[in-house]
Amino acid sequence: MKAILLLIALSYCCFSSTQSVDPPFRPATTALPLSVADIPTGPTVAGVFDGRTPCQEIAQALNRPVSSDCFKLKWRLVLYQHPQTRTHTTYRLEGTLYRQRVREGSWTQKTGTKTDSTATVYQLDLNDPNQSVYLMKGDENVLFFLGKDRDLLIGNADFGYTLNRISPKK
Amino acid sequence: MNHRNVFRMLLFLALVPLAGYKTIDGTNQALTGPVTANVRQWEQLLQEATQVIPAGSSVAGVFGATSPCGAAVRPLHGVAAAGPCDLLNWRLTLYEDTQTHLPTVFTLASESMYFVDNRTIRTTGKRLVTGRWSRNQERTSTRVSTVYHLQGTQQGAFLALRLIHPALLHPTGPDGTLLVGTAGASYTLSKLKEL
Repeated sequence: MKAILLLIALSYCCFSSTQSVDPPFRPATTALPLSVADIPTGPTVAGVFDGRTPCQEIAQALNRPVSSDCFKLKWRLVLYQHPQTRTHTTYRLEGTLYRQRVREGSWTQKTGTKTDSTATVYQLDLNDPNQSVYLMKGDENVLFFLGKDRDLLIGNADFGYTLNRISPKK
Repeated sequence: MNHRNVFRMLLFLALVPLAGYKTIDGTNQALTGPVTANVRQWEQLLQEATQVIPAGSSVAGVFGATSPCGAAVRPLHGVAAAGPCDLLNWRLTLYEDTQTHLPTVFTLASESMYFVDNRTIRTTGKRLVTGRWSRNQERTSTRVSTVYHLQGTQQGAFLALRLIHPALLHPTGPDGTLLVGTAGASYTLSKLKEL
């Protein structure tokens, strides 16, 4: 009997170790593209947006070299405003494409995409008259990247061309 | 406690982990490439999906996404409110009447996953959701939008998707606002090129 009990106990230990491969639920621990500690706050911050997008198409649109196996890009966009008037002032764009040099400049609001003439569009000045980053405002919390022709970029089954507000909450 | 009860208890304890394990896909995937390439095995689900498509219907669009597993989208996917789920993989196929182009049914091949650690993701379930869908015009505070309503066959399985672009859909919450993703994943569904 002792031998049987010992065998069962050993079996249980083995099964338990199998189960430990599948640990209990815990929140996602994926690293943010950029540190949470770096999120700017205060009355001059209109919004902080993070996201991951496909790589090749947008890198090409922005004339940024990437390796052929690049399949995703991490982004953080900080939009600043005047603290009293809330008019748009500057932006800060960082992430995989701009590891070497964070992009900063002014941002303005425009109207119209290729398929929606009434959509609100944010234009980020890249200090090059021929190049800007365009984002369509889905609503207060979600932005969508536009391509060169001001049409929305279409993602894939893994990533969309979407930035999500992470701060301040609206 | 006699020997028989001890035996039963130990046998139960030994079998519980096995029973739980059977319900899980059982594969850990290293996050070294696109999740789609590593994890998805839709073939069986998609084959089952073809059985619910009414005669005279054709594909209006196939949309895919890997989104957060937020509370608003769990009911449609059949994922328990408190179940282990960090990401959802979507392959949504919308069908329409071939003659009238009116919406008919949808199929959603769904896969729920959670992070074991920073580099490993694990599938916790794959399922096929079916139901009917409709196109609607809805007014928000600033504009009128086209919204697709998906009503699954399971009770409570409902989701509204705003048409952002002919090739982009985005789920909305009960208040009609777009669902907000995370730094790592968004809710936007993109029209897939390959059918």
